[in-house]
Amino acid sequence: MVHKVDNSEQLGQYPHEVILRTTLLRDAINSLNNSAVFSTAVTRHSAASNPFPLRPYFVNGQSPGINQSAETSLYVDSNRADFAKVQSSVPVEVRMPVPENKEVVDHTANQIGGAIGSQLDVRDIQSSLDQIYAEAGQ
Amino acid sequence: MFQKLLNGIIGQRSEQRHADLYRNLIRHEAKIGSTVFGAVPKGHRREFFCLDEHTWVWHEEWKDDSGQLQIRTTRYDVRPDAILKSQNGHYQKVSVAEAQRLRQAANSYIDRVNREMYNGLIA
Repeated sequence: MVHKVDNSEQLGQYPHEVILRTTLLRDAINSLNNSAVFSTAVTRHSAASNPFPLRPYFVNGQSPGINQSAETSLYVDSNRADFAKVQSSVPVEVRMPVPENKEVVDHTANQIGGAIGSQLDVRDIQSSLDQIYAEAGQ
Repeated sequence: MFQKLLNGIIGQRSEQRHADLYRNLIRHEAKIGSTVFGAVPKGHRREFFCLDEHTWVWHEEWKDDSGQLQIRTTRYDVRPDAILKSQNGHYQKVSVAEAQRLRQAANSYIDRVNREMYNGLIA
């Protein structure tokens, strides 16, 4: 993610065109990275707003019984890398979108796990999530 | 009157200078952008650059087997809900795979120009 430069002393050293151009480039890459093309289901929202049927997923294979509301549910968002940063103290149920459309499934998998082949099973996504959470110290 | 004319000329020159500088920045970026996809094939001229905050352009020129110059300009329009590709005035929605490749290329482009031209101003 590209961040805004707010150091006015630094900016003052450059011609106006350079500032214009770098600002435009920053907006352009953010616009591209934030395009809905790269999103499946986004962040925290109610299950009702999810266009796909949901399948419960529990962190590190922990069993159900976690009492949590829709607000604490974490949805896989292919456009955000920070979904693994959820506080470990917050009970989290991860729900996976399970779309009918295979292309969307492939896309989701590629976003999560990198080079996952086209012969994808939803279980592959779950094991990828397990790995991500394990690496994040969940 | 003379002063007014002089100010007008100076103003025009100044505007022209600014426009030239901006265009040159894009030209230089396009050269860097051409290498984002690896080595440019011999006999090809390639440019890849950001035109405006919603448009990315990939331009390629080469001579075919019969020596005829071929030109292909592909424009990607980034919209909030889709990315459209335009070639020869024909629009089509890009696949997720192609959108991912465009994103990868655009991010490499930004990294490179940021490092090589803008002294890290973007990041």
